[in-house]
Amino acid sequence: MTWPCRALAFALTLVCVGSCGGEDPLRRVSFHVRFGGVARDVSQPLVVTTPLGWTVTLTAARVSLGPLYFRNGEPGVGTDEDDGRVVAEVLARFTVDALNPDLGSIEGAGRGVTESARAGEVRLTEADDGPIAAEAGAGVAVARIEGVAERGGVVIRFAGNVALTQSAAVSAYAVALQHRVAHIATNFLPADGGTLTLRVDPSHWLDALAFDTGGVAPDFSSRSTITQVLSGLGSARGVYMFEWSGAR
Amino acid sequence: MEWGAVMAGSRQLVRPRNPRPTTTVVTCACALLVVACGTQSAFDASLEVTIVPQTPFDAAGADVVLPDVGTTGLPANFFPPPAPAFTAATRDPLSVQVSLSGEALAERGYDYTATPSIGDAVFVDGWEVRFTEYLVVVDHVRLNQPGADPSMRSVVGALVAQQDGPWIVDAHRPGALVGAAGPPESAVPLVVFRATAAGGAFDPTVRYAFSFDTVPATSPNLRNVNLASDQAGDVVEMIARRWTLLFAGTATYRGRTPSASVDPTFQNYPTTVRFRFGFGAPASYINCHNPEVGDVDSPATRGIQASASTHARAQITMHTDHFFWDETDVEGTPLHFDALAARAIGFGGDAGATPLVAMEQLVGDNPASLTDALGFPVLDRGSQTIGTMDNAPPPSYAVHSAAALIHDLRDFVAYNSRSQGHLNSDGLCFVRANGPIAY
Repeated sequence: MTWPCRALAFALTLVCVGSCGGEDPLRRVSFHVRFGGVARDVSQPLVVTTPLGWTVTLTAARVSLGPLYFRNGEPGVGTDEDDGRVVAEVLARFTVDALNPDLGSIEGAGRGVTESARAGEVRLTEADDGPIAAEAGAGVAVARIEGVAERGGVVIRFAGNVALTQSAAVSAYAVALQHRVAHIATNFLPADGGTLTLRVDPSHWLDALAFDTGGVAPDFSSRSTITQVLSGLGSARGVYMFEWSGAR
Repeated sequence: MEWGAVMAGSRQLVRPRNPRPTTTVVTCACALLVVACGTQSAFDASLEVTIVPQTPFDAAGADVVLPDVGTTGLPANFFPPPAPAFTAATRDPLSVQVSLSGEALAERGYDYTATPSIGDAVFVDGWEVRFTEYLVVVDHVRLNQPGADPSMRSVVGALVAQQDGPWIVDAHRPGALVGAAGPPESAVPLVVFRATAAGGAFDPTVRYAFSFDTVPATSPNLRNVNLASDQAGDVVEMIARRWTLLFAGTATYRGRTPSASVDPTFQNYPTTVRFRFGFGAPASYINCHNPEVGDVDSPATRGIQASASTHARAQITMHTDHFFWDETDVEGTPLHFDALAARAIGFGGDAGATPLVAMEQLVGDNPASLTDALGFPVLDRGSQTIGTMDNAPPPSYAVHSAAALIHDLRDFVAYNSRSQGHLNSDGLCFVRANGPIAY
């Protein structure tokens, strides 16, 4: 090798070692998104027993979601919001029928970089169209729940729209918090052509709902009822589950 | 690209929050690099499948119930406490003085006023709260090199120095130091870092990541910082039940007087309640923000930097208000005591001894549907203070994303208390749960 060639090779090596550091740079990627209810036998109704002792049969459980954000840090506990930097996002909005395991899809809806996502966040969003909007009106509710609750011979049929606080008396920050389900544990590496699947399990949505022992259906226009429903609908664990599969 | 929306708005008593950094895509900008480094492949694009199952309930939410305590179990020579690790006059250059404070609130309590100043901590349902003790156990105080990726808050660099206790401190007792927030806050000296673990001096040009743990009280290693001998029984119980925190005191109702026409539901509420709450909520508080560097929490304002001319302060600050919040995951929400008073032993009965409420009385009380000891809803008698905003008052506290960890009001208050550790007054840390909550 001539001297100029050796010098060039040496220079290139220095550049590589100094700049690359043995690590691959991040790349922008896009991926597909699927969403649906938890896998289950749809020939049977979804029946759950809440911690308050009510046996609940859900006949409708739909939630409107989006956007979704994924961060590179581990999910924290408590007041720390710093789950890291956003490394992937799904800006689309969509409605999930949590009782139907069949998957809907949005091709190429996810974007990100090639860095592991460890903490997920979903935003509850008021549906502008679709079955939730058909019941509640456009831009009103984030979820629709129907079913029957039974305990000790008391049977309550309930149906309601989950409309989050939009009152001017409540701070914008508090309203934003209601829409946000953060600190969801996940672990995937975004890759071009991969698929992120979100499954929503409604089994614990009504865990905190205090059904009236007198048999009166819950008032979905009351703040207490909504707060109780949000305890389940907004839980970071056991409700929103992400799966990743590589490029097809 | 629209990366990560930033939460908008603010409200009274909400401490400064951390603006999210934007994502930066790292690229090799130089064409020479392409030649030199060749094709870059960051991942295997084969049919790799990674599935992360989530369980409905985390082990951290499980109860650990231990037997009643005996009368022994204190470490040898536990009383009296040794001399403080340093004094207010200690000014060693290149040292880091670690202290602990429960703020003026732990020392003096919470006054009630109907017209609080902005930022004052006040019980919006009319209660005044005074502590008689506030015992907390901390351990594993650490200084690390900053992490390689500032966006990964929980990942710090190499360990530079560590001091181990565990230390038990009564944050109710005034300390010998002026607190980070200034008078009347004081702080108790804990330990001093004078050199790195390798024996060298701290680099005054480096801001070291500061972290610490809250741990269960354990014998025989527990080190008494400022407790008096009449607190021996409390320490024994903390050891036996693996508690990280025990606090006690008295709450006195000072708000408007309920009557048949005003707050009638509350006519039967006690007006003086003793409380004693103990539980174990072990956690690591990692890479804390240092408000003495900058008010806004960001990677640039985290950690402790030694000074070539004097000491640096690292005050572990325990926020007593977390226990009384009405929602999870939000720093500085309005404070309430009605839901606790409503569960006191003797609630609804004849007036006798001052009612007492402890963690046991909170079992089974749904935080999203609070009830008193007789089963009736705890109503909101807010509007007792000027300037507070209605967020999540009784009967429905908000649990946000933490619902799967919270089964009742006992879990709710313990969960909120697991984030009470801060640095130098209000500095937030990354909080990692280190085991189940013990009751």
